[in-house]
Amino acid sequence: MKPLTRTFGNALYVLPALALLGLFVYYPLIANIVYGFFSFSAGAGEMKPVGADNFLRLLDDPIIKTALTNNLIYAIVSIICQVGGALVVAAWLTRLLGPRMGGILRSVYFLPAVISMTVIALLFTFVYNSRGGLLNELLALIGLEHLQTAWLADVDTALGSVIAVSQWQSIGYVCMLYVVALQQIPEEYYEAASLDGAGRIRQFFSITVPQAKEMIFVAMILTVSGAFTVFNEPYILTKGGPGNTTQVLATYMYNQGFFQNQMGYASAIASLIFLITLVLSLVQMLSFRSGKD
Amino acid sequence: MRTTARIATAAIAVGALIVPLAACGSSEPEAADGQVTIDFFHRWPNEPKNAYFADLVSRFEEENPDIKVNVESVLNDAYKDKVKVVAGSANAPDVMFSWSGSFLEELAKGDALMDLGPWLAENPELTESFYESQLEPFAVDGVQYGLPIGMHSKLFFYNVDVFDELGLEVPTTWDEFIDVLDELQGEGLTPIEYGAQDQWTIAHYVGTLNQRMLDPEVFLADQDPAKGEFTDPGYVEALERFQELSAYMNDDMAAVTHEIARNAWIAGEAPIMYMQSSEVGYFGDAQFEYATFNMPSVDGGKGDPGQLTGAPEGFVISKTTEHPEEAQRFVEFMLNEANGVKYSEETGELSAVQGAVDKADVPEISKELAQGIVDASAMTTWLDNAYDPQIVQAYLTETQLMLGGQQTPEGVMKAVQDAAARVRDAS
Repeated sequence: MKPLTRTFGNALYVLPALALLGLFVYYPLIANIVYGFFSFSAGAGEMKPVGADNFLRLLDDPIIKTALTNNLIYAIVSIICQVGGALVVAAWLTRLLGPRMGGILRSVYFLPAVISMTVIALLFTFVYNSRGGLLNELLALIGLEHLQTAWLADVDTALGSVIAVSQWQSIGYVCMLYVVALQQIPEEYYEAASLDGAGRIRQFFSITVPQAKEMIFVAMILTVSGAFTVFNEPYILTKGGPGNTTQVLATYMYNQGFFQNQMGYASAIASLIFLITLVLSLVQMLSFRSGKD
Repeated sequence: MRTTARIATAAIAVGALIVPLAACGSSEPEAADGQVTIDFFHRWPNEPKNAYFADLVSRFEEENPDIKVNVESVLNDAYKDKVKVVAGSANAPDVMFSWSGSFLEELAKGDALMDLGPWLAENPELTESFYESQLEPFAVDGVQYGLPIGMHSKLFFYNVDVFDELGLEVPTTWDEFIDVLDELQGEGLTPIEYGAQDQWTIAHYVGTLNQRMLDPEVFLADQDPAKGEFTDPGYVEALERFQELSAYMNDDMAAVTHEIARNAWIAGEAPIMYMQSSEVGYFGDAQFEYATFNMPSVDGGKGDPGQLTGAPEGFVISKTTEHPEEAQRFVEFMLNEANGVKYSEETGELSAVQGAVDKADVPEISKELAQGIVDASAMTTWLDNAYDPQIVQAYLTETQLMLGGQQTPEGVMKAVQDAAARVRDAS
């Protein structure tokens, strides 16, 4: 048994972190859920209790369905490109390219990750611009004029265009995480595999993927929770438009809270976002743990 | 050695914690010798108004050495969001920009604004210096909360050279308008330039068409959040008219901002555009003669076709201000006649001070526009300032879809009615 003072002393060391965490993470979290039961505006102080109205409204608000679908598409594309695609790129960088070329390209791919998302989004409004935007000009140069469109204003292309920007930025970052993991795989595994006659692709699936499992898990959590909390890209590029076609949960929450002045409903949406990311993280944590040997 | 290094590290760490905390505590350093600092928040970080207000503030500080003015500014939509958060709090800016209409009303109902009544009662000459019609929109339930700086009206600006060349007359009825547009389209031109990416531009078209179409009583009744139903068939018809017009506009309107569209109009790419009177200041590069006409009367419309759409904008004082007297002095300075003249000259806006635009060295058309506003039978406020933000949001996003062919006028009104029902329930 530990002496009481020791336990007390330990608790004392934890206290500052606990206080900060409580004040800046747990208190807002709980307050937010409580706010969901009221109706109030950002400016006025008066809060009117409305029971579960805000949460019930979530169920039959068609824009919530649009936003959820968009977040889901965001997550699926992000998993394919960032969790899957970035692993392929990382394997290519570490296994196929020499250290010099690999090093240079690694920096090139990582570069977007150090630029602010706001800057990137503004940059891409020029790329996507319908009048003389880079993308449309490029299409004209290679004789694909018929593909030109107002990328961010066309209902069919807006969401895809927004998602593409996120992939462009994030692949380099996830790729860097993978490179670190792949560099720790012993070279002998690959030598043994090639002696056994395994080709590059077989080596990738039988050695690289299983060895990088831990990092794939990390990348999954990062991208999926990122996809459900995404805000900057759609907000700056389209503001959720045209109509509500590129609305995601976070932009809709912002719109409700600060534009439509429905802080209570915005809190309910925030609770929904929290619930979704919580459940997803739990599911992923549990399923990956069960796979451990 | 090791200990010294450790102590040093700890000291730096503690210092790093304290510095931001200290910065929090002393956000408003009181200047020496009794100088008072007031915060001024406006919505023009862009030119020419940014420079105009910077200059105005420095002239004010020169004349009033006992007052220092802290200026902060963010652009339109961001301004709306930010003001809603700071207004009414202890950190509210002393003097703020405000639109008239629902924006002002919301601030007033949030108990964030100072009642200017007593101050104006002591200074009747200040009240009388403004056009009366421009003061009224800043009153809520008979209480004056704000004072106007600029008057606004929305009109079709057209390229006189193109009209003359094709022998076109200025349209006064809907049929004449469509004939003119057909003629222009027949010449291979895009008749109307439009940027619908900014949703407020939709509000300007739809708001005017609604006013033309609807019975004035219905139009006014629906502005009351407790009663608004939006079930009159005139609303759907107004949207159908808008759809009709959109066939004569640039195809990529949904991807174009108002600013880009305006530049295209100035470059002569299309002969007609729906713009605000205050935008004349941007037309410096236009290589053609321009003039204006009001939205033509609409067949079967029950509204007065002589009305102009537009509303003044101005300044309010925070209720929580610690320096009411200094804030009032600053507002009075900004809105005096000399500065009204200067404002009109340097920014192209139309000052709401009586006679200021006439005295200013501005293009003749600005004087005519100002006179038009003063003479107008009545003003229709902007749609996005007339209704609750929830209704506005539904109205504008769904109409934006309608312009892209993804929604019907009936569908738009259905969404508006649903939003109106929610607003009715809440009030």
